[in-house]
Amino acid sequence: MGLEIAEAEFNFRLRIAERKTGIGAGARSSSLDHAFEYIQKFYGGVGANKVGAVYSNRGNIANGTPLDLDLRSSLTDVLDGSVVSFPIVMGVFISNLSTTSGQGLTMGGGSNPFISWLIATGDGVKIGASGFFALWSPIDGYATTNATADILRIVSDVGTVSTDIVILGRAS
Amino acid sequence: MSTVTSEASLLFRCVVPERKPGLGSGGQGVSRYDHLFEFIRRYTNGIGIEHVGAVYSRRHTTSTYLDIDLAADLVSVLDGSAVTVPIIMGLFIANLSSVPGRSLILGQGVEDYEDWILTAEDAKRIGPGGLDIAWSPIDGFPSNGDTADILRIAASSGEVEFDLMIVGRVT
Repeated sequence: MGLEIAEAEFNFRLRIAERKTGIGAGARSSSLDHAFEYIQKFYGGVGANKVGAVYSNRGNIANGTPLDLDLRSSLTDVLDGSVVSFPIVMGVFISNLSTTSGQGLTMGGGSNPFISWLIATGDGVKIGASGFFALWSPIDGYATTNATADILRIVSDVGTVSTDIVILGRAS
Repeated sequence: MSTVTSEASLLFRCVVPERKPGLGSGGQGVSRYDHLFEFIRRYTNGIGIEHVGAVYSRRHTTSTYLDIDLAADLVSVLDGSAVTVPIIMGLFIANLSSVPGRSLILGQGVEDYEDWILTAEDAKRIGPGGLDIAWSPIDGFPSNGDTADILRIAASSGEVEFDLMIVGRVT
């Protein structure tokens, strides 16, 4: 029997309080709690808003040796080593575990790049030290094309960077 | 009058349980692994690495594109005063559309703010119902107040409502 995905739970919350002091009679304060929140659950399956495949890994990326993740044929499941394939990528989450200034990562580029999340071949983004990158598209997802547009490249700018990577997707 | 921001509390947690049933003698065993992506931090107010000194948040709507001048257009919702963010630590965007195909395109403006991308004119898509988060608390993504400070957010089709939060510091 094959692998099964139960529901995927997301909980993202960013809160920052901003205050203006010395306002009005009595020099009092106004305030706003800036909030960015995303709390959702997605069930296993195919189609929009369903999660059917997951890959996660912690690894090191050395400068000069890009990590090329083949999203259709080389990622393996931690439970049984079977291949995890992502015809549609719904989410990419990458954490740069370095605490050293300048030890950033870049994501994108390379040969046969996974590019449907970008505008053009060669485009990409940076992930700074002690930072993270999250891209999530539960309805449309980002399609891959086997053998020609299915490589997700991650490069270390300097030294060796430890990273956590989670990729979510579905078959269709 | 002065502006004070409190500490920034950031929690990102994605849990995806995976099971493999039918294992072992009798075929009744089930192995399980909870894939987890977690980022939980607090950042105090101030300047320098891993300190938060400025915040901007707004809900926007666009059917074409919105050019946000990071040096001149960010204003506080409290009193309309300018919000200065020479070093952007984080960009947080939520595409609030639920219509398939209604993506946002982030990037490619004139005098393009580009420190968060590989090269000028790079851009990425944020699908409907989706999120895009770039957080860099140590080095940040500096903007150039004169030549590289325009953040363009465009609608791929139709009208798209989105939430935008920008967090940063002065130095």
